[in-house]
Amino acid sequence: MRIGIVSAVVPLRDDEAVARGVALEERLRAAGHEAELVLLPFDEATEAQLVQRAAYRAMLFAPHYDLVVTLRTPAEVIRHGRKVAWLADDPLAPGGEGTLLGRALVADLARASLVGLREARCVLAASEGVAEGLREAGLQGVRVVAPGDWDLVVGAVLA
Amino acid sequence: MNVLVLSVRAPFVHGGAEELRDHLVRNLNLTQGVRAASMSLPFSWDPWTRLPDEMLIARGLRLANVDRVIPIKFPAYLVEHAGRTPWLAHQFRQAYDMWDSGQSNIPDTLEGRHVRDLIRGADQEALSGLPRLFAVSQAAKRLRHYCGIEAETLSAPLNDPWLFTGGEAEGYVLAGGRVGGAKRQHLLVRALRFAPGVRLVVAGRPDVPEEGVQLRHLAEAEGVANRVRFELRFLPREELAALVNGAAAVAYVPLDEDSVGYVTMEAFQAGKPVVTTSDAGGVLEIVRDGETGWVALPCPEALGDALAQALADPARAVRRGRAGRAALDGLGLTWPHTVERLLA
Amino acid sequence: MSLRIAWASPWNAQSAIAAFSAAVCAELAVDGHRIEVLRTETGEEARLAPLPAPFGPVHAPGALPPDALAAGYDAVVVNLGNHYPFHAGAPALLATAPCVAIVHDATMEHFARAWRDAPGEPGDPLGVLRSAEPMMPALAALGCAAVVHAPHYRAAVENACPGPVIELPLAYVPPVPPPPRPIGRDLVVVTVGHVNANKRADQVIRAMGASPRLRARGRYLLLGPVSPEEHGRLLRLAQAVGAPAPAFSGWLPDEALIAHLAISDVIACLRHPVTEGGSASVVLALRSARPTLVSDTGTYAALPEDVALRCTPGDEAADVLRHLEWVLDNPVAARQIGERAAAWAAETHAPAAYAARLAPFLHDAARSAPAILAARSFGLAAARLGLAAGEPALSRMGAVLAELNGGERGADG
Repeated sequence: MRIGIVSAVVPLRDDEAVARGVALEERLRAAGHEAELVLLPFDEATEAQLVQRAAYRAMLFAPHYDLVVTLRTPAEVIRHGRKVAWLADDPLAPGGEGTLLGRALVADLARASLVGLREARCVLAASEGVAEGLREAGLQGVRVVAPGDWDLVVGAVLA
Repeated sequence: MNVLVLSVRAPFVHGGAEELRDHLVRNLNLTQGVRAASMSLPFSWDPWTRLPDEMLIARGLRLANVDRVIPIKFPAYLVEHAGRTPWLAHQFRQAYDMWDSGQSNIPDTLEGRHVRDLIRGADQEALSGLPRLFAVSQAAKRLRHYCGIEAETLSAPLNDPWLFTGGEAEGYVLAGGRVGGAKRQHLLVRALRFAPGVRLVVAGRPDVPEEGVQLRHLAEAEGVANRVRFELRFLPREELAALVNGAAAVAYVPLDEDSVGYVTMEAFQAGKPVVTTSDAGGVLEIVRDGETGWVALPCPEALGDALAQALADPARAVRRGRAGRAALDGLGLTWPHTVERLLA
Repeated sequence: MSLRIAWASPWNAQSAIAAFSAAVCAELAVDGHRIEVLRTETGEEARLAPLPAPFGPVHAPGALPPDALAAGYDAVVVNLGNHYPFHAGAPALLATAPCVAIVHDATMEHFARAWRDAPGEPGDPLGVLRSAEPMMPALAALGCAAVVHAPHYRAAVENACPGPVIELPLAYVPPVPPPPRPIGRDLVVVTVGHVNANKRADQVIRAMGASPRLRARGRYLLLGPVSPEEHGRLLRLAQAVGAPAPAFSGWLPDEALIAHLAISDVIACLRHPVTEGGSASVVLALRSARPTLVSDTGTYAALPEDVALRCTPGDEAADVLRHLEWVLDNPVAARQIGERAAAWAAETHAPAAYAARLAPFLHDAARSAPAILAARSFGLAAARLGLAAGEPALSRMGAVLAELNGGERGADG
């Protein structure tokens, strides 16, 4: 299988997602698949949050990969018929204080992530805390699969 | 200083552009005060009607935590950032020279011309007026010719020169580099019929598996299979270098290459002459017929003759190989120099 | 919930929109919202003394960077009026911050003409907008939401603005003169506001000239600034048709205006064509409790049947004559129309009512803003890349944004 491991990454910062992606890439190759890590640049501070997500979603992955695994949010918004989301953070956490406009944006971003996650055939959480948040937001069937438990990770991805 | 090298990817392809990207990052990280990483954006140019979408996608991306961005391909240089220093491997050639030569994937229809014009307009908008703009030689020429934009020529150095030590010729011609349509290994296989006794080693990873299968069938059909050794796979650098070091000559016949080409540089670093064709583009900046190698017309007969000549006189081959090495040294292509120019 | 609102408006005593803004802001402050005024005047008008603002600071034109507004305020409200020197700062705000546009004028034609003639700066990002035609939809298109004050231009604004649009009766508390006295020997007719052809003063003059009774008893006062050309034209017309010569006051401060209104019997509030959104002038007229003549079009056509005397738009003279003679013959009924109009206008056009409906609308506007701004960002990017508005790639990106907006909120949403 040709597998794309897709993560949003703030360049030269998001070491966790990159490390997790590299490790997963190695193990999927060891399992006999073609796998590659695709990093998408992300700026979490700009106002252009919806713009970035729309850009991600407009990218074509389906012709090139049989399966995609998304890591750091908001990579889960990409389109693919066979998508597994493996989250280390909860993108659906309700926003806190802020301006009306700021809270409207947070709500829209959560909505966008929900659209992406509902399309996934499988949503994995890297911790119980993240899993709880996703379930509370209405996602069904969220499994906890921690990095390091690689047999479980690969099994869940390829299931 | 945080530096991001931004390119585009064809899934699971790792060729010259990817080598350039990786070695650029490595050498940036070797520079004091610099932290560097690379990202290669998904890019789908097929169908051609998608190209405007890809341009909009590039403009929807944002870069954070980065002081300098070095984009090396279309449409990566459309991603906006105040500190852009493009080092163009090439623009989207289907809108430029490949359009003119009828080899573009964009059709010459009303809609096709519109998309072509959009790409040209976007390049003007993105590449004009930059304080620093670099390009490999052929890309710089095309940029000047089609867009009226001047870029400083900056060729990519060889990544690991210490591996290409040269050595005794073992009686074969090596055809290195990625195996695929524009690299025209099929032309070399056809040429063997006109180079009696010449042995060819084709070593490189096919872009798609079918290319390799077709090449083998071609060798059978041409009746030269017994003189061709195929190593159609990814080769570790040491193994590739060993093949270069043992070659009598290296054959590299791409169609209109953007730059001198890694295959050429590897050959000359090892002191091996290069056989190429008159339409090989940037390769001809350093491969000169009668001096550093042979330049043949791009047809099997002429190319076969050149291959035969390369093996006919070993001393001549050695002389031309040494001249090639001197020519390469004369270009002054080193990574420290390249990084210095890019970060200036 | 208390909102922090940036309110962009002219803020001087000569601007009717400033008076509107002051009244609405005061009510919003009473409701617990925090208001900061951003003045939008330019040139000499920017140096006019500011109105008082007991509820919060008043920032000079251009004092706050537009890109800081989205981060610092719950809502940015921009008033769009037709007088360019008062509203010159509005387009920049609309173009760079997520704004609710209060559209006071249906065409913005005078604004457009004056903006085109104003000196521009090279590389002005609003350069293309300057030459937009028609101007009002081009400006409304920059808002994330819009408020209109009458039904006759609501559809045009809805077609242009990508966000929600609400129709609110214009808020205005005009200076109110004493109740009308019984009609004396003269029937005093007044028209309030800048004297121009649009106000149809010529129709009142023609009506007076065509009626022997009105020639004898009619007096026409024009209460507002007038150009020498228009002054001369109307005087010549009166002479030509045998009407009494109209009197001109020039610009009047409120006190003097009230004094003139106190002696008036009828207010002529004719307009043709109608370009303004809601009409502060008609609110002033109705609140005065004097019978009011209106052109039966635009915002005036939306008035209840029994609060105004309607005239055929574009050909008002015959109806003006008919109504003025009716007032002379039916003073009691005329007074009753005036009283009904005053009561209706007091309730409908109360700033408190406006503020009470505006505040929840600002929440609606905020909900729409992120998606609108994202679409706009792609639109601007596309334009810089040479992609036209109808380009399929842009439509496809719009569909992607709609997809991302289409998910339902989770259990806690």
